[in-house]
Amino acid sequence: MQKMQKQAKYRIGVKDKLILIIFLTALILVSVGCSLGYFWGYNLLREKIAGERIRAVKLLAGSMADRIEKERREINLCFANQIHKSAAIKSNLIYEKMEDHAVKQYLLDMDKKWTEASDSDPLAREYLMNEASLALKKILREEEDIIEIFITDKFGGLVASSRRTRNFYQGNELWWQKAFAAARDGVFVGDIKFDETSKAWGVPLALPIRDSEDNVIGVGRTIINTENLFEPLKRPESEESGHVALINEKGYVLFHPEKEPLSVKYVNDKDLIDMWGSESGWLIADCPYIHKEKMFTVFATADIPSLSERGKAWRIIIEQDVKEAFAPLSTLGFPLLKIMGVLVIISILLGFIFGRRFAKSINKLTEALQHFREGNLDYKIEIKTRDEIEDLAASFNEMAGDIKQRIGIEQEVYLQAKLASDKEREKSEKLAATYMELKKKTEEIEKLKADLEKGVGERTRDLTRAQEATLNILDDLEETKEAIALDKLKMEYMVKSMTEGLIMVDEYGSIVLINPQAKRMLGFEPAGGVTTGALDDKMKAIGLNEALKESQDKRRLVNKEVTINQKEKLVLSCCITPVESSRGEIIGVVIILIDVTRERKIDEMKTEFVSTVSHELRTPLSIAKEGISLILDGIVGPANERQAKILNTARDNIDRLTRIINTLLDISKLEAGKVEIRRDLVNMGDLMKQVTSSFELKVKDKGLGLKIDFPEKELYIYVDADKISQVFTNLLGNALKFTEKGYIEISAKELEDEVECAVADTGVGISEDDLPHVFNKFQQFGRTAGAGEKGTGLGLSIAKGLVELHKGKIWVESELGKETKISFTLPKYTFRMVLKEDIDARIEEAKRTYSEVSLIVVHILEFDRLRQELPREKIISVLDEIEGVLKNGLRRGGDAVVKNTGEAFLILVECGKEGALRVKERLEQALESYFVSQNLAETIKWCFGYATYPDDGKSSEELLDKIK
Amino acid sequence: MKKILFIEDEPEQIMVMKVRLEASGYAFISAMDGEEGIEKARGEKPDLILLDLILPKMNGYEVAKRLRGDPNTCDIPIIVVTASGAEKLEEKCRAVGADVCIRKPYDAAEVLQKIRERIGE
Repeated sequence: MQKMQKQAKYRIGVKDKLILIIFLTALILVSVGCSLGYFWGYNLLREKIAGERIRAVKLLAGSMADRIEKERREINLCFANQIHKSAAIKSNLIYEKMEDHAVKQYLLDMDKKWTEASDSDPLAREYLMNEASLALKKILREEEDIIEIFITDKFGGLVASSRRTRNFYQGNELWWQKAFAAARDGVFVGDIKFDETSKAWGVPLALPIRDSEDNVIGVGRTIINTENLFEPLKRPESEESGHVALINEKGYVLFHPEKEPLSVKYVNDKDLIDMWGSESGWLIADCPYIHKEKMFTVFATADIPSLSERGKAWRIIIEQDVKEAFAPLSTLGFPLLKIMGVLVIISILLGFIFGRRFAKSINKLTEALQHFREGNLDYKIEIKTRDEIEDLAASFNEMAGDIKQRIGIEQEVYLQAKLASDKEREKSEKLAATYMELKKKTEEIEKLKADLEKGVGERTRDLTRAQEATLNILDDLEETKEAIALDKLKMEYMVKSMTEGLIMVDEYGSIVLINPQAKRMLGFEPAGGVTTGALDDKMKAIGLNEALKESQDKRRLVNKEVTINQKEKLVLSCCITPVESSRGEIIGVVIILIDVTRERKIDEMKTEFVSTVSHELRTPLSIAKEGISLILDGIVGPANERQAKILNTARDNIDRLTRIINTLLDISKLEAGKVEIRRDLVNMGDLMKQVTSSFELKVKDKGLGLKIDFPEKELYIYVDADKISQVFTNLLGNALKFTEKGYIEISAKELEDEVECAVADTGVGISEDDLPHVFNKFQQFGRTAGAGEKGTGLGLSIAKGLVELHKGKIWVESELGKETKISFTLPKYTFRMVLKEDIDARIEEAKRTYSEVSLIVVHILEFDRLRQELPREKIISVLDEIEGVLKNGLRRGGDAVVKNTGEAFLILVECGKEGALRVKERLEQALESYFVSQNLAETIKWCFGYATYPDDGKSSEELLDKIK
Repeated sequence: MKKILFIEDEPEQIMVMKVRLEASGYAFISAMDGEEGIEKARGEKPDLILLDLILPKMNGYEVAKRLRGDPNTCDIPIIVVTASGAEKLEEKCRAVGADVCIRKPYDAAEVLQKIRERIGE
């Protein structure tokens, strides 16, 4: 309840959530829409306003250009007057006879005189009061927009003027040169200037004067008052408020209603650059020298060629306060806000309506659930929303029906299930079930029944029937239980009285059963309990856990012999069998422990006995043999021929006895498992050739053939060369002994994962009855041996033992009087397998003796490269040397060197980490000095690795992993 | 004349060996147990030692080890002559510093050859 309340604190209803979601969605959409609309409208409107202004300013620019043109025409008309032309021509006559430099000198002299002369000077009067000057003065009076007007001749000398000019010589002035050179209708428009005389701003205009033949005979110049020139700007055609201004190319104001010309810069340089780009346009200009506010500025350039060809320009500007100019834009916002408001209100309303409808459905469902909880399963939910909620409601209704229907059945099933589980439990329990317990159970069920009756109410009748049925089942169960109890009791006594230890564990390793013998063997208190953990530890300690796993994983019986060191050493033969259920699942493991300590002790004693006896026998034999040899060699005096023959026989028999003793010892060791094989990569062809070569002479002596059947391909396998040689020797010896005619054949062929070897002869053969006993000890039957060494009857038995040590099989095929073939297989081992087998064998030994085993590896780096670089013989000698160095590192009989191409492993028994490290260092030094002595220190790179059992790993695999 | 020391506990074995070696032109001395063997080896400086492995007081392996550890005797070649049938006898012998191992009953020719290989006639 507390939790519920806590939840309620943070509750927001579905309705509210829906309203909120719809509202927020609408708000976001409306905001984005309105913003986009606003900006789009704003830009459109602004462009429209600007467009209109640009049109206006272009008109102004046009009228400005027109105005200049009008002035030009007027002035041109003035100069067309014959008086002015004649005056110019007259002046030009002065220069007729003059050289160019004389003209210049004359003009400069005149200029000097002119500037020095006062107004009343005759020179001044001559020029200012002549006919032409008077005509000009008249023009000045008539045209009020002209401030000054004068004429020069074709070299720039003054001809006539409306007033006293500063200079006489005008030919070096830019306006003069431009005007003189100007095209037909050309006019020179100069920079705006302030005229001191008339106290007004003026724009100079200059034009060429032409005679009737259109030759330029002089230049006329006027200054136009800007008041008049800029008249069109004062009354803008546009009705908009705001100023019109004229600026030059440098941004300086030429005309502005509030500013003096050239007094301020209208725009800053940045805006000026923007303006340069085009003839006309608009910008929001920063006009720091005129206005505080930013100005909406529209500009257009007046088309005046005389200015533009000198890189100058007149720009007409209409400027207006941004806010004022864009006033229509501000009206844009409000209607949009209104639309937004309306949309948001609509969204809230929609949210409210949907939310309510949805919440209503959910409330109905909640309400219905409350009804169901109270047990009112007949309640029907009425929802018609035509969506998933309606489906949900329908499912609820259906479910309520189902529940209602099932409650009855459930009660019955529950009872039966309960009973069934009880039964199961009873079965697995010990023999403790009694009548009393059953009665108690019945009472419990009755109580349960009573409870259920109370709960279910109207289903009482059905329940009673179910209970009766249950009681019947219980009666049956009692009988079965009795029978089981009896069986179990028998079993238990049996298990208890077994001499073997018996343990049963389930698939999880938990103990199901352990008899007192097993406890005793494993060192637990026979009468006490054993926990699963303790058993597990013990299994690990004696190395049985791997066998357990193997048995479960591979689903087969696993036999293993382990040694336990308790008060006395105990050897246990363990037989582990997986237990499968009827469905084939592994449900546990049965372990049978047999105490074989005594047997093993006897075995050991036997081996020891044989070993001792053979030693004791060989000593006198040695003396006897040497005694006879001394006589036969004539050292203690000569023996006659008969004596020698007898002594020879005696010596041969001593040798025979020696062989018997030796093979006896061999077989005893084989049987005791004391013979270890040391696998090396052996060329089988070489091995067989070597063995046969020692027989060649004897075979030849007997007049037999000797065949070797061997695959062409070189066949290398990992075997113990000495042991396999012995097998072949034994088999060939036998064949030779029992074959009188025909041939002996020795063969080998490569199969997929093994090599099959055979020795066949065309000898006496073996009878079918004897075949099964061929490999038994001291089996010498039927086959009468010929001359030569006498057999021991142990050869085949040893061969079998040795083949089996290699994990191979041996068998015989024979037909009496015809042929005998003894075949054996040798499984192909990889280097890895050999190495593991070697290491594991030593680890097993170390486990028994609680000692350590160390593994050292020498690995030659980039061996493949070396193989290409160095000659083969060199590599072989280097590898042999490395092996030699490693062999020098061996310290104990059990140590071994296992080599592969490019690497070699040294296995050191009873050697811990420290020992391994010492050996490693010694080997490193030895190898280093060897390589240096051979000048190979640079060529051959190698590395060492080492690992120790049990510190670095518990198995060969772990150690090899560690060493990588 | 090259001197050979035979360390062996069987008098008969010593006897036949003595006849054989003296006949082959070697000076022969013998010791009956390990300790005596070491003593003789130090005192008499033999050119070669024939060594049995199963000896009273000190076994052959120990004798070989001591002889090899003593600068006075470490260079004397040792040939083991034994009736032992132990596994990996050759390895064990090499491990304690013996040069070669001959098993009883031996072939006199083999023994002589091995001696010759080491010290000559």
